[in-house]
Amino acid sequence: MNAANAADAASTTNTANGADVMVRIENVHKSFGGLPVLRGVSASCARSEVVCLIGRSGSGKSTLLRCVNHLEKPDAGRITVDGELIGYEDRGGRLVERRERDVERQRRDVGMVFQRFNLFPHLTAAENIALAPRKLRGLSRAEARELAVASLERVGLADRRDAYARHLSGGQQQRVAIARALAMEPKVLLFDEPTSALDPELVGEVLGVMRAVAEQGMTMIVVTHELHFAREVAGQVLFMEDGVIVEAGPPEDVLVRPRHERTRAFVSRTLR
Amino acid sequence: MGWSTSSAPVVHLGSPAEIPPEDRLHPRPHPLRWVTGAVVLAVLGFLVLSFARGRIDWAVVREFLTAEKILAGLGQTILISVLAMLIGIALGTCFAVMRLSANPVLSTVAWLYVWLFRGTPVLLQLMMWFNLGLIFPTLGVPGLFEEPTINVITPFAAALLGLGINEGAYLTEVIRGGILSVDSGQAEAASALGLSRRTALAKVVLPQAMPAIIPPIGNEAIGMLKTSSLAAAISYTEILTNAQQIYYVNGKVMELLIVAAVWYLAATSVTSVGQYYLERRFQRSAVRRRSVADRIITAAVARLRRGAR
Repeated sequence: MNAANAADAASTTNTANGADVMVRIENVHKSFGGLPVLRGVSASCARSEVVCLIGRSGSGKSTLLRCVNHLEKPDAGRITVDGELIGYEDRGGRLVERRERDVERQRRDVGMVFQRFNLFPHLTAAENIALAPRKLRGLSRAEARELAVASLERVGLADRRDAYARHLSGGQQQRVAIARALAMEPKVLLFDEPTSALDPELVGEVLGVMRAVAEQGMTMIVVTHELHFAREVAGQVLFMEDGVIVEAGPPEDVLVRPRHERTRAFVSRTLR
Repeated sequence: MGWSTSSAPVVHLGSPAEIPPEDRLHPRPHPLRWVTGAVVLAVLGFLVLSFARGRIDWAVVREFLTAEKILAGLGQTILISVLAMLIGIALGTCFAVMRLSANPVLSTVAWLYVWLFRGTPVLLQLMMWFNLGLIFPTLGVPGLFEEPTINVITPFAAALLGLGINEGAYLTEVIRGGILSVDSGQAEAASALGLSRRTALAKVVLPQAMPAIIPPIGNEAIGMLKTSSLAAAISYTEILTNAQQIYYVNGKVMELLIVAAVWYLAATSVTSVGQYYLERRFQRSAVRRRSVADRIITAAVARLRRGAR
């Protein structure tokens, strides 16, 4: 929203809405096989802010989210996290994709939680969490295990540390996935429809954990259909349609008093 | 009897003897099964009888079953099979990863490898390796060392190369299929954590591909034990070669072939058992159904651990 007036995206001291910017998205375009999915998206997310991305399926929300950790490569535009350009580097005025090792390093700062949890089924809950810290931060087996248990405590599952994913409910699996992302101490945490694959009675526990993580000051970008959650937790709600952000602002505006007809139609249909 | 709500409660529960005969249900009789079974048994009996009456000197079979030359040949068969399988697994893993690489040169080279070595008879490949000296009289790094090919490519080396490289082509496809069977979300989750593709492959994807890879590798290992007999053609002294050499001398052709057959069956049976245990081990966390005893032991160990803390 206020990204258009940003003069220098590479600087960490830039502010949006008067706050410290953690994620800045500028004029991002992306097509799949000639079909435009993102058509010039700009947005920014302040440090410790929760941004909720809403919109119909196919509107480009998940693609935008996946561009932030370079799981998807945008065709044009810039994305910075904490001032660092994600996935690309400036080579004499040309933006060239970074080498793989750099992208991997950048991804450590951007945690991601998937719709389908994607826990590693051959590992226990604690091993799922310990794997990346052991491999990437050089922690010993014991240190990584300790970190894993501490992370599981944050999502209230320390007693399930030795369970395999198939012995956990969907809600528990998603909480382990959140703990796995948290263990890398990311600067920002991305959620791609984290409750859409859950049975209705399990949604609440996951949203509860997400709320707690937000309250601890984590910067979060959440693609979601849970408008009540967005209303209560988000600092900013973005409504996307056809690859553009139609409306953005605080939840009281976007969800309660939408200015655009299309936002109004979506919100009333979803809250029904 | 019936569903009517007014009828008296059923009193026959749990005692079959009290069920009236007209209510009993009977399995369908299958008289034809008995007939087919009897026919097959008769044919089988005839075959056994024929062999028993045939001109087979079972004493010779018994005598040569543990002959030194046969056992040495068996050892060579097992040795070449194990080594060729190891080479095949190493090559197969390497080329499977290449085949899935984003680099078109690597994936095309891997495709060519499979095409070439799966598309020609292994016997022909063995002969080509054995006769490598006809195209390259010497092998080595020019200036550093050189050796006449005939000294390097012994029958053993030719058999190892031929069987191992051929096996690698088959296992490339097996391992590639295994990797592809793992949900793409797994590699994605690993990437999102910042793990390198190599680490993701080794720690996340391959362990999950194992349940799909192990059974065909077991089949291939059994196949290898038998295929290694083709190395007889390039005078590698495995069990079949040695059996042949013995019957050239004593003329007991069938007896010696039976000896070899017995040992092949023994070796493949042992491999099958190994395959069973390997499969069980790799299904550990994926889909294993845990036995009651297993669960009790695990719970007890966990309790002990907690107590110790």
